[in-house]
Amino acid sequence: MLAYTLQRLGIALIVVIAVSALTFAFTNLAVDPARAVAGEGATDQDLARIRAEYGFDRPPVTQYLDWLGSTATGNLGNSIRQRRPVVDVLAEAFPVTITLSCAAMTLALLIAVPLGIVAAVRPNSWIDRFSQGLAVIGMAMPTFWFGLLMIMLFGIRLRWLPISGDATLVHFVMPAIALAYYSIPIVMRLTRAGMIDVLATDYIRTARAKGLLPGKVLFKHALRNAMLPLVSVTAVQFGHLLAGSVVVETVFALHGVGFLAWQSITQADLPIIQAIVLVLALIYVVLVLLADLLNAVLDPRIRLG
Amino acid sequence: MQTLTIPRRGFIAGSAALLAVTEAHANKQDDTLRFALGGAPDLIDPYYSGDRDVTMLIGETLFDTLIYRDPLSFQHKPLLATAWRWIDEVTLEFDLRPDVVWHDGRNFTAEDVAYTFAYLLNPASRLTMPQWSSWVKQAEAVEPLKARLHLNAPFGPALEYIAEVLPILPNGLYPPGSSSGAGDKLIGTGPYRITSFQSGKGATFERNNKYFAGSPKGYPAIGKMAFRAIPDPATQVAELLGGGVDWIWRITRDQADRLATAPGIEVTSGGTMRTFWIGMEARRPPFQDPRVRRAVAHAIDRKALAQELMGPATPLLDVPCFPPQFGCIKPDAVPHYDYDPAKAKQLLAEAGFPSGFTTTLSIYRSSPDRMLAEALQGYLQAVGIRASLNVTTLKAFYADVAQQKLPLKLESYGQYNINDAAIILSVYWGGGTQDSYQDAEVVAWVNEAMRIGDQDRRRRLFEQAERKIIEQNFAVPLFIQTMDYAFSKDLAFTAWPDENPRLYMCRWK
Repeated sequence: MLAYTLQRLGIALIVVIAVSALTFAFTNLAVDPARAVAGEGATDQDLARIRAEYGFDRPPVTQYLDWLGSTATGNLGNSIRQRRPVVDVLAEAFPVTITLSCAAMTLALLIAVPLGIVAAVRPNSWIDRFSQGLAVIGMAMPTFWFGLLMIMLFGIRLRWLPISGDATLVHFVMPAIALAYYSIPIVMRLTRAGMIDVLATDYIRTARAKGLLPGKVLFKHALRNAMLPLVSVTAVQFGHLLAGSVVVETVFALHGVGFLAWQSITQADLPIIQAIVLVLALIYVVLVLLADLLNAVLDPRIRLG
Repeated sequence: MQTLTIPRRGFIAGSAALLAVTEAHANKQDDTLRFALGGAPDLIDPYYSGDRDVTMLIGETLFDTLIYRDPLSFQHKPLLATAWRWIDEVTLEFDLRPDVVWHDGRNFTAEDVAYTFAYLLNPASRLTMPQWSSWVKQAEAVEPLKARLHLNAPFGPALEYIAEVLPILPNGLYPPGSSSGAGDKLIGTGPYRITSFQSGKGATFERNNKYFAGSPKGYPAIGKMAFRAIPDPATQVAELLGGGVDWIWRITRDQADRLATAPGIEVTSGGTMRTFWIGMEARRPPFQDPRVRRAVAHAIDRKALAQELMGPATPLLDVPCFPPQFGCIKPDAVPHYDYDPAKAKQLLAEAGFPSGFTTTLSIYRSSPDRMLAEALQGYLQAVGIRASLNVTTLKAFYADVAQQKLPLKLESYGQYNINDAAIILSVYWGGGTQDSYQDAEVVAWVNEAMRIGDQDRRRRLFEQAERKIIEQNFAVPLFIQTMDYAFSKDLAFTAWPDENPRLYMCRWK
């Protein structure tokens, strides 16, 4: 298990460094931070002054290595636009996104897993077809549209929920539902497919033949094995929710990481872009690593084979 | 800044219909004017924020400048200074108002003026836009209520810069070594004082009860103001309909049309200083030939383009500057090029392109430029100019202009609210890297006008340059962008011609 863990950790580190290097290269190719700071119509002298002042005139490799070096010491630099430490900026944005993502993931699991189990136990029943329909609609409907429909109903018509902002936990209700709706179809279909496969296996038939209670067969024997792919997908989905909530955060004016990333890209605030990509890559890698390790715990064949 | 726009026509219509049964409530009850900004201002200090909404909207709310520019006449009037005079071409003297106090209760004096410029001119301050003050050499407090500015060299637009982009700060505002702005510690003399600020989220303001009588800005009528950053325009509309905010701006035409029918909501249009024009790379064929440039001018139905796509109140533009600007030539003093596709085809044939030619039309902003560019493609196609669309980034756009790689481009400029033609002419026709024409005469005239203080001569030089720009079709001016606002019917709001909403002048009905 230790060798397996070390191997996964090594791969994770390489992935993080590769992602940060690629991000640095692509953002430098795409945007001119000096131009972004100076605005439209800036003169050549303005640009030269800003490049010298901010160090944009140094070779890109030097800039990247400097950044990597200071990052290793925990210093992610200063935001060009906000003129304060990137760590402080991220410390304000991450709690919003983490609250949103955790709420959305919890909601998605609470809805999708039971629906998937019931659909698998009663294939082709009305509830199975309802679940399938829900999944198709969930995958087809754009998140922003679903969010706006909720705003119209619950924010404007009924006035039950606040429309935008992140002042209280109530402000997260509509965004969490909108975001969860994106994950529910994937988790539900995977649960259903996994359960159908497991329920058709010999050991389940044997368990039933032994006279075990249906609930025990379902939850103790079937679900445990059906969960293996679900654990991996949930980890990746959670990463998606953390990194991919830009639309939901924009619609509901939540100032989280997704919105910060989009805003930083449009403003060419390279230190923030770099830091967000690095942190999100780290989170992804840790989640996938945890999923791998959890799967290895659940299924000894993975760690031994 | 840019906003993440997701067009949702049905949402506005649906929301307006829902409001038929749930009328919007406003914040008149708690005497707080709540408004939304599309951008998320990271910094609220006008000298450090690169966000134009902050420098324009918030800057004037918290601070005063020495001189005030009248929003209708564009004339300069006294504000913190009661009078001013040029001692010589490089020395400007101000008599200061005696009855002004800072938000923290201190009296305003000439020392504050001296401190402001000393701070701005210190390179360690690392201002976002140091060019606004770099023409000043030094400021001195001559007497407690008399200050002088010493300029590096004659600078024609000096008064305009002083009125629009150089708010006066209290002596010692920033801690030594500071280069990141003052945030919610900002202290001004303006009609409102700041009470809280959350980076990227919003801020709250309270009326400055000691605001001096006789200010052309007027005594503030509303007790409190608060803004929230709401990036998505559809959510801003929802908040307005739901009563969460009282005022929004930069709404699109279809939003304006639908909001106008919503109960409790009023919609109005105002001007901006953003001018649009078609630029061409005149140093290379085919646009090197003046007949080809003139053909482009005749190929575009500017009136239809402006009114159909930008709104019926959109003013057409005939000059390469913003018409009220100092030094901007009168429209009747330049040639006009009517929409005449037949003439455009004839000019192309004379230039050796009887079958037209293929080229590229470049833009770097998505809205409304893409919509406009697609319409322009149609007009150009009709006379034989087959232009493919190149949507690029700001960096690539400017780099490619400098390398003469963009044959045809849709350009616009907001003038940074400076009412002096120097601001636009120096960038686009002054011989720099963004000048695609490099006409020796135009460059010489513009640069001379930038170096002298004689206003009559400056005006003549600018007009000379502008006339040649239009005669030679070094630009095909299109229109001036307008701005649509939507707000609660409880609010008395006036839309001004220069885009600055001056919310501190609002009152409840």
